[in-house]
Amino acid sequence: MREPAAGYSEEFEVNMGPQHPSTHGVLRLLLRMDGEIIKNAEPHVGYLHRAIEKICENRTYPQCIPLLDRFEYVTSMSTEEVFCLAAERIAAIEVPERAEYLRIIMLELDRIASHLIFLGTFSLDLGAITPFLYCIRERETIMDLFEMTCGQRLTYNYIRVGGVSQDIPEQFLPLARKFVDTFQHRVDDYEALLTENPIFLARTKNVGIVNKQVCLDYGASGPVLRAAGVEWDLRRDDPYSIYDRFKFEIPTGTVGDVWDRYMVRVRELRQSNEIVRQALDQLPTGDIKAKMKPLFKPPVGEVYARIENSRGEMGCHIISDGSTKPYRLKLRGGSFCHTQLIPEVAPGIMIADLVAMFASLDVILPEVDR
Amino acid sequence: MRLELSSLLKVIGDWISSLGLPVWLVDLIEMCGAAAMVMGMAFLIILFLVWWERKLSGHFQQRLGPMRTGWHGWLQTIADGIKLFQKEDIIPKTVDRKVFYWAPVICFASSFAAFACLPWGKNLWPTDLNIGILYIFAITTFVVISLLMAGWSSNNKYALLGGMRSAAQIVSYEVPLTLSVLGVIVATQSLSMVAIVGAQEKVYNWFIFRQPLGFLIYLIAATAETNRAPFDIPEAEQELVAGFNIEYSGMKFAMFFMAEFLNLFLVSAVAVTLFLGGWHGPFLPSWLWFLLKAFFIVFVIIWFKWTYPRLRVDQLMEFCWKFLLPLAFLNLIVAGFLFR
Amino acid sequence: MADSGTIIRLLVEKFPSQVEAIELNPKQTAVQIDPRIVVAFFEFIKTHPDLKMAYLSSISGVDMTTNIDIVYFLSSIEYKHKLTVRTKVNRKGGKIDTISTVIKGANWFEREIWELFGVEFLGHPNLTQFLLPDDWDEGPPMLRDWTGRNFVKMPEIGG
Repeated sequence: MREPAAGYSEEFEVNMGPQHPSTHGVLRLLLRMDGEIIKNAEPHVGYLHRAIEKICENRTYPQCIPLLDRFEYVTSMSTEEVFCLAAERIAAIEVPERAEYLRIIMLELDRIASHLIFLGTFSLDLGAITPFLYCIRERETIMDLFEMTCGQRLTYNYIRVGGVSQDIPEQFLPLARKFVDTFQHRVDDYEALLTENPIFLARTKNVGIVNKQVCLDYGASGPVLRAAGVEWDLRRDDPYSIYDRFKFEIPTGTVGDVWDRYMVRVRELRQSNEIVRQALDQLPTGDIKAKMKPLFKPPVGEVYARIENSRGEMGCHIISDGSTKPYRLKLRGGSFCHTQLIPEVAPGIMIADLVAMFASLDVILPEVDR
Repeated sequence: MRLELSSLLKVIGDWISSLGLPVWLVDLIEMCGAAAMVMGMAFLIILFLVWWERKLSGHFQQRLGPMRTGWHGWLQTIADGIKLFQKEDIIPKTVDRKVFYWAPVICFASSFAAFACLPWGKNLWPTDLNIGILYIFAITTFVVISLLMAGWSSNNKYALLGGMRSAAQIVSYEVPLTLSVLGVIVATQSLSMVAIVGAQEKVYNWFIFRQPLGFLIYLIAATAETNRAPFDIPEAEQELVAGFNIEYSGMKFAMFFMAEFLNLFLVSAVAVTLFLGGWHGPFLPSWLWFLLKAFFIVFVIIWFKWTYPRLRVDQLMEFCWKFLLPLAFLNLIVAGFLFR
Repeated sequence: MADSGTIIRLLVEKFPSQVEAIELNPKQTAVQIDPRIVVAFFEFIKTHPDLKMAYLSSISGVDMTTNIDIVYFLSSIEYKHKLTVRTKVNRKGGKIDTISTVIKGANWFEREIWELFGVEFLGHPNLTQFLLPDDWDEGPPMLRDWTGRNFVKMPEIGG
């Protein structure tokens, strides 16, 4: 906490956003400042509210999936996965092996792509412009892999209830293996630019600390929770799909400052790379979709399914009334809880630190607004 | 045969005086001619530097930079200039018009006025003030006033924050800047730029070898003076959306932009003069050596920008006052002993 | 780690007539509680040494045409077990106590339910405009019978 200098000073209100290069979406932060020090930060959200939940009450289950892609467009695969997981649990559908492996490969590649965007925009917010372009270069390969499979680079519409929509083409495996083999060295490159740099350390160490108690109170999840020292990963602690067949570590931090959140995500990049490598090695042959009726009509039921997204816990609460359309669909993204952390952490820090902290929370506004 | 521009200029000068015009007119013509040449040189340098920075940043970031406007994009700056020239000059209603108007002019003029003192080559300086280096530091301080004017008159909180930050930064970093240069002045016993270059005839006499700490402090402080990364907090795009020049558009913005590149070249040229032997060098013409060395320092400063993240305002100040300044004093004391 | 049966037994013992287990498809640990004990209930499951469920995943509102259901999802970081809690409030003018004093993260979830369903959370620190535009005047939009200015129902497919 910093105390402002003694003497007469006037507080003033500054509006950060909604159009601002570093609020990662359309977020309006109403800052009450005393010089460079923030007294209070109030987030105003709702600029991206598209009433997705209301619209989905009026769409059949397959029709919901493209809409849900837009709910969290940076990791569309995980949104589709959580929805299909929930629907499959209600209808007690068994997904074939090959489809599960393909899902895992796509999910982990998606996680890598999302963390690369985080890395790029985070260093961009701190002023180091070059790592952003290196990260985009890697992401291009992942986009190529996705495009050759489902035809799309961003909103995939790939994972369907009961499996996946299409099988991978033959060019997929060689390109994926090449990516997996070279990616470790690329991560070393990014670390060389940032991790040991004294300027970077001065901007991130002991800045924007979100400690364990605050995280648990607010329901923070994913890298934010792990950086605070809590080893909680839904892939291991609330298992779904076939994650129990892969060996991977769960990186954790100690203090919960910006540097910890950065390091947790960089190490997760390497771990996801490992999972993709193992999945590519173990990929079996078989069906890619379970045998289902053409019109998906699950029985009456209610479930809350959650998966480990790159941002945290992504949850989907579906209530089915036996018809082809979900009666109620509620989505919950990790960023929703993380944006609540801002008024808790902001008082007493400088605006540059707020930018660094907000970038490290890796918030995507569409998740908050739906 | 060494291509010496100075002999060419001497021929022209002799011809003008032989025309039989009154003395004051001859002087006036010579002064205007020199000013015009320096102005031309300044614009050519801006042209080149804008293009070069974009190409360099592109190659650092694994991409190509401008490629379509001319061979490898060399006409890009001209295209940008034409674009900025014909843009609508938007002046918000609530600004302080006179101050708003004059801020970019003062910024550009003060950076440009310092060019009068640079030794561009053998016998190739517009003027040889015997307080050369003092004049340069004094006149570039006007930039601070112009930034404050820009920030205040824009009537915008972001601009005000940016202007204040930049004023604090520039004023603070002038102290180690001047101190680092004092070491060289102690050695040459003169403030004149020409005399300083003259003291570095042999390579082993170059002050970069005799005052390495001074050179490093100068380089760091000069990067801060020109508001470039890692010290570009006043223009920190990601936080204050372009800081003090938020409300400027069109030609006025172009003037701030040009002033930044002029400043960049100026500090590099001063570094070359003070530490790297000025225009001394074998085989090639002296002005070519000067330009090559100056552009090398410009390259290093551009390299800094695209590699390092940005320091926070208070860290910047701490670094200046608690680290650079004591080092600069130490350097001065050691120089005093060495060159007594 | 307490299993499903133990959790429900502990809860029913503490709040005898106000908590009852319910069956859902698929099988999960779920209880229905009386809305008046909501704060005491969450205090209990947060602090009880065998339950320790302090991690709130989500709160959803559901319009069940006769009343509005509020569904809470909790889990425990230490024991890794989960719980679904349902409670009912009135459709028009429903009121329930806020649990943001017990679990701070409930703040924005409850704010969203207030805005989209019209349920008032007593004691909530900040029930203000959240997701909807500032000049919204068409009532809580997530109710099943809401017809706003631009609402178009899609044609039915199949059965």
